[in-house]
Amino acid sequence: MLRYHRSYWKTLLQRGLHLVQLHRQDDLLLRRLHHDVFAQLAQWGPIPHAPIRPHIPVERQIGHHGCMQCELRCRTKAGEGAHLFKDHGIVARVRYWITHTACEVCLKEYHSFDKLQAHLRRSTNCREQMVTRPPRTTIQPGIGSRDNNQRRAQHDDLLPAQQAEGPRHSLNAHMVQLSHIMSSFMKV
Amino acid sequence: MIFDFEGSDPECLQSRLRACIQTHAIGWTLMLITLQHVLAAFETLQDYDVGISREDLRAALSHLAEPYAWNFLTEITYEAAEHDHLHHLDLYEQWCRDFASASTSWKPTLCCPRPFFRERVVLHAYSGRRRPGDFQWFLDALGRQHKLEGFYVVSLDIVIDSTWGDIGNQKTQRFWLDSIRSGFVIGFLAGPPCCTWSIARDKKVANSNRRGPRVLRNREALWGFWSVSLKEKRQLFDGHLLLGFSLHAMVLLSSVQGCGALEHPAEPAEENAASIWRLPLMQMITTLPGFQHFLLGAGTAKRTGLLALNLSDLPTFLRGSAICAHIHRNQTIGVDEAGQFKTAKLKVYPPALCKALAEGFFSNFPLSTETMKAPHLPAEFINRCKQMTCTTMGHAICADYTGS
Repeated sequence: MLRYHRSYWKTLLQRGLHLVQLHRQDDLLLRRLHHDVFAQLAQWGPIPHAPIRPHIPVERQIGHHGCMQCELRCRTKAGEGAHLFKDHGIVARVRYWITHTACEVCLKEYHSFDKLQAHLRRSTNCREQMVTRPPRTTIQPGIGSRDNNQRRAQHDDLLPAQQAEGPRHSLNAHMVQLSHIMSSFMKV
Repeated sequence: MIFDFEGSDPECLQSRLRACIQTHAIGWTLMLITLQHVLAAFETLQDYDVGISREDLRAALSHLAEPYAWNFLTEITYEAAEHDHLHHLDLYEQWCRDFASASTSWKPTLCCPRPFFRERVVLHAYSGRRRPGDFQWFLDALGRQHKLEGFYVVSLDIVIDSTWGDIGNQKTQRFWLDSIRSGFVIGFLAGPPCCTWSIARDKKVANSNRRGPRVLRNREALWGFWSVSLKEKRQLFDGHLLLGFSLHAMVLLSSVQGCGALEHPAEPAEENAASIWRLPLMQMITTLPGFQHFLLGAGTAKRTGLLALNLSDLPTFLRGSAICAHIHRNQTIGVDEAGQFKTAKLKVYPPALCKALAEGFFSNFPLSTETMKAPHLPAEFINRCKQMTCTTMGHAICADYTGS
């Protein structure tokens, strides 16, 4: 489809995006209208009968996420991570072992930090070898950072991971060191 | 901490563990993994040298690993529909329904006196082309008859002025709404487009196998279906924009004791059909002080609904302006010889209706003696009104929807 019907595919995508955009604009317009009408009425006198509903929809109340220190409930795991970063400066653990956009274990170049993070989350072998080394003092940019977005824009998300050549570190049985690192993150 | 614990009370250990956890900036996800890891580590520990028994320790850790042990994780927090935050549409609509169905009607505690100016400005939104016998035609005639000076009927339509008649433009919309809020406008007449609400949709065209445009909304989806084409969505969006402006203007006008009317096809007999009169917002507005809902026409003719604000004598004028005793039996479904939908002609108000509306509005205007010593409207506003007062008659009826 992308090869032989490129313009058709692009038009289809653009139309789809435009429709979603219109749906959102429409929703916002109607919400603003109701908001403005109620705000106007509130200027003349107190309005009764304001309904309430759960902050987190009932169907999404199955999973639990939140910050134990702030006693804050979050809707998603991503929300939990965002809160921990913004309020407590806690970053994803794998970022302590990232020095650049290539995996130091398998020597694959991923071109952006988020792709390398995703690789380290999935590849148990690489992750296990990485955590046996001491963590870095300087943390590299993470997912959603300006630097990372710039890198993604540079290669347009289309360039695949490339295999680099070089000496590979063999797996040492540094289990003592590993348990030390792990325990430093699990202080309970 | 567990190794340092001296005592045998599992409750005490649990509360200490809880306090310890809460001193750390840690998420529930990682805390759960950690607790499970600790639990597994103590299960396999050979030299168990803790003051508390293994079973009690397991119970304490397992309890802390349950979300129900942490009130904030299971506590359901509620959001309330308030006017100071933008909530989801369904919450506002529920509020409108509650408001409309309340046993006692809401009354404002604060009532501002009606502002008076020497000039009188009436807005006619989506007026279309000027024609003899239109609303402005009758209103101008009444103004001349009563020797009113500084009387402007502003035609708010994109065909009259592409900038100050374009309600889709945020700046234009804000300008007119602010003018209404400030009391510069004393009357407002609007007939927002009804093409997406029309019950003529999907009807079979006479002498043809064709059907009309498909239905875009029903009673369950009053603001339109989710699955529509790009053109249909634009049509829905434009309709909502113009209807929203009209309703907002009417609510604002009621705060300055102005008068207004909103014309739209009446509520259909079909149970599942969409209509603006079935919107929770409209049902709420009709319960506000000063608003009335009139129904014109009956039987097979196109029934029209009017939302009137401070026009209590309007039914009298409507009856007085009626030119025939019976209802027309002509069908307006289908297309004419030129390929235009026959319903397009219905959007032009008949002169008798315009006359009744003009008389209704005029009866609510302050007398000239009341405004003799009143201040003038700002010069900038007056100039814009003069610029928007159309005197050139048009001849062509524009298409129902011209959005690109």
